[in-house]
Amino acid sequence: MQHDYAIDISPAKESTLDKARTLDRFLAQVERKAFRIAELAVSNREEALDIVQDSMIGLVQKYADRPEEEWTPLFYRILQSRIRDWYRKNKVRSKWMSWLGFSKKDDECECEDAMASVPDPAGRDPQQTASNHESMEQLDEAIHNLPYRQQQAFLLRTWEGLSVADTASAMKCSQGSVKTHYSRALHALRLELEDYRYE
Amino acid sequence: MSEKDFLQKVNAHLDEQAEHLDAATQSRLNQARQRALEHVKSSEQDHMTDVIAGTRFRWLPASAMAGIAIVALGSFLFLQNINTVPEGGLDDPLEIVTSNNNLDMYEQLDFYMWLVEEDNSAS
Repeated sequence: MQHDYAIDISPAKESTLDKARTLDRFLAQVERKAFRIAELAVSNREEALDIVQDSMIGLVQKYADRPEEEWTPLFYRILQSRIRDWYRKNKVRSKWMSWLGFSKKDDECECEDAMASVPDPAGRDPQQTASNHESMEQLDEAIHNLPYRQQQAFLLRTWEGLSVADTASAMKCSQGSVKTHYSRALHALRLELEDYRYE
Repeated sequence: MSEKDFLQKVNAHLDEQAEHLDAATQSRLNQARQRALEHVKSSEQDHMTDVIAGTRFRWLPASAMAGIAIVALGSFLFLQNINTVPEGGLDDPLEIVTSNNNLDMYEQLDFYMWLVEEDNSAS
């Protein structure tokens, strides 16, 4: 009877340890990029760290059993979802602050996609950085100052190398929107980084 | 600079930033990863509990079947005793037929009744 017991446990335990090791390797591989993507989106280190941790837990809890090659798009889908949650919470908070008179006004424009025009949370204007010609810093600022959706589409496509379909899935929008956001982001960056282009 | 070169430069810049995160941030990311991996371990423990519980109760169905068999056998024996024909009480013709007693006596019943009448008349 003891032999049966040993046969039942070992393969399961072994496969769980293998899974843990594989997940550890995967998360270690994506955590830095994920953190930078979140930090660029929310402009707050602590919030970005919380978002990354929630995303990691979400992946482990929900998708650990899925094939490894699916983890990257799934992880970024969770990350984007957490970032959107952060924006929603912030929007509610800013509405309350506005209602209580702590803010000047809610200056949301009536665009077709409100998220596309979310301003930089740090309050910096892309125009303000145009005169900053330190190439590396300028690039960082330029990415930072892109509207949220353009920034995320650009980072996921260019830096993380997700396909248009995976980026659309992560951002919960159509593939056409991803192409539009990406194209606008690229155009804005190249315009803003004229000097950087020719270095 | 071509678009491809531009994008390569952007990627190189972003990679460099990600590689040179400060120690505190790297430590926090490591902690976050370990916390996430604890959820794999807890699901493993759940699995172990299931396996152990499964081993412990593996013989439960067999034990239940054995218990049912014992009860059924006991009931059968008990009912068999109830159905046993009491001695000397064979009034019902069906009981006579179904009992294991020797039927020869009943086949010669007329003879025995005649003997009884003969005895009575002689006395």
